[in-house]
Amino acid sequence: MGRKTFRENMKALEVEIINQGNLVNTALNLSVDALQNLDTAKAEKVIKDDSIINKKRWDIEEQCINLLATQQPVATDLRELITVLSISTDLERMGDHAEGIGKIVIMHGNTPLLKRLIDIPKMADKASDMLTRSIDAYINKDANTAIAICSEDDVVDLLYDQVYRELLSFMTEDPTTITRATYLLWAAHNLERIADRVTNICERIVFLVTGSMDKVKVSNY
Amino acid sequence: MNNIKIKNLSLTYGKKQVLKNINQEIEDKKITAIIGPSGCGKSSLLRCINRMNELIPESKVDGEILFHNKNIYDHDTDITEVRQKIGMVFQKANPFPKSIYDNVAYGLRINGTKDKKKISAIVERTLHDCGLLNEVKDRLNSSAIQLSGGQQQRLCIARALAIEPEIILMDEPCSALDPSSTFKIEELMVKLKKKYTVIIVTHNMQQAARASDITGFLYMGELIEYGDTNTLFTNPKEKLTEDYISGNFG
Repeated sequence: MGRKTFRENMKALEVEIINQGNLVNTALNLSVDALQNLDTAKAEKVIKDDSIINKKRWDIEEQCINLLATQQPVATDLRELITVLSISTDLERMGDHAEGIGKIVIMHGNTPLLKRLIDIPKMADKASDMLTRSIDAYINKDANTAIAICSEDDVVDLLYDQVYRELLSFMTEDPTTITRATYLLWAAHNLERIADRVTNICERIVFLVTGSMDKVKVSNY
Repeated sequence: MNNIKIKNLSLTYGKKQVLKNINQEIEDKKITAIIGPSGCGKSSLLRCINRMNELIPESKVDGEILFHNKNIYDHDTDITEVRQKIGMVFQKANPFPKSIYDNVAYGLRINGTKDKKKISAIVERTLHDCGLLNEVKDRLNSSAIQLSGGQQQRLCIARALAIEPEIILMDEPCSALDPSSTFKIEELMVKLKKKYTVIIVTHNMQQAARASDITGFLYMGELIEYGDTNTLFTNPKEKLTEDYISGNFG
């Protein structure tokens, strides 16, 4: 297998990453939609479709292992392959977080939401936007955009803090809200972790382009 | 410590310039790999380090190679002593048509060692160091030619070690060997660097990546990049290096 075939394989893996990213983004948005509307059918779809994201991850990993074993890539080729492996793993875990939100919806059942959701959908929108742009940055090998996206994680962290404080005040004022508040807190935590995993992807992009991760700023939160 | 220092080294064969102004210090007790496409001058560079190029007609060396801060190209340098201290192992194993024992003892005897006990001790130690002793201890007096290719190559390394060199030059030592023999030589190299400085020329980049501490990339007689092997194979500084190690040319 020559370099041309290796490049073609890498291009195919890029497409696989785009597909996996789209699946995760769909799951993320659907899970929060399900939570806002307490729609168990949508939640069950998110839970069921997580296996597709998981399978995609194993398929990508298998292709990467085959290329590592047979092509022994070095330099940029090697970093690219490691990046694909790493991104795919992070996407798979993000899918698990979306699935986690789906399970919370099932647990919530028919009990009305504690409050109308404002910050949680904002967190989801931000995380989803960061995810979309991080996949674009990977395809374009754009380290500057990746670094910029990393710093946006602070926005999601601040929103999470806000949700946490608000839910804490509900629970302190009226202990009967604890169960419902905890569900929402778990959902928010899943979203916060999704944004964190986007920063992992961005760090890998910087590594892919520059060969080091020195330029990535550690989050303040 | 850098006991080998290459300064402004150029080499020509007749009108053809093979090496162009090479400047590099070789780190002691490390494995340095020289990689590059065929004809880039890597074997020529290796042969300059123990003055083997002088055996090639019309070869001319400019610049200096300092060994313990003395230029090995000075007129008063004893070439035999240089080649004793800077040993060489070639692409094709070249055992003498003698017994295994006599192959290793050869260098000692021609250098005047007569003490048989001492010779036996050195033969045993070097064969052990090369991981060959257990394989040949019952047939030390058998012909070396009967050994397998990998064993012959390790015997040649043992022969080079017997005269206690400081530097071992290896010119594609595994190119004629199967993977198992290749791994044995690579393991041996790693063992050897505790006592010796090893410089290896290889066209097998995976071997350079696996076995060496430092790698130099040579292209058309110029040393393009030189540095830590891990860095060179994961994040090379020069595009030319990247293109070569990624198989985009050469």
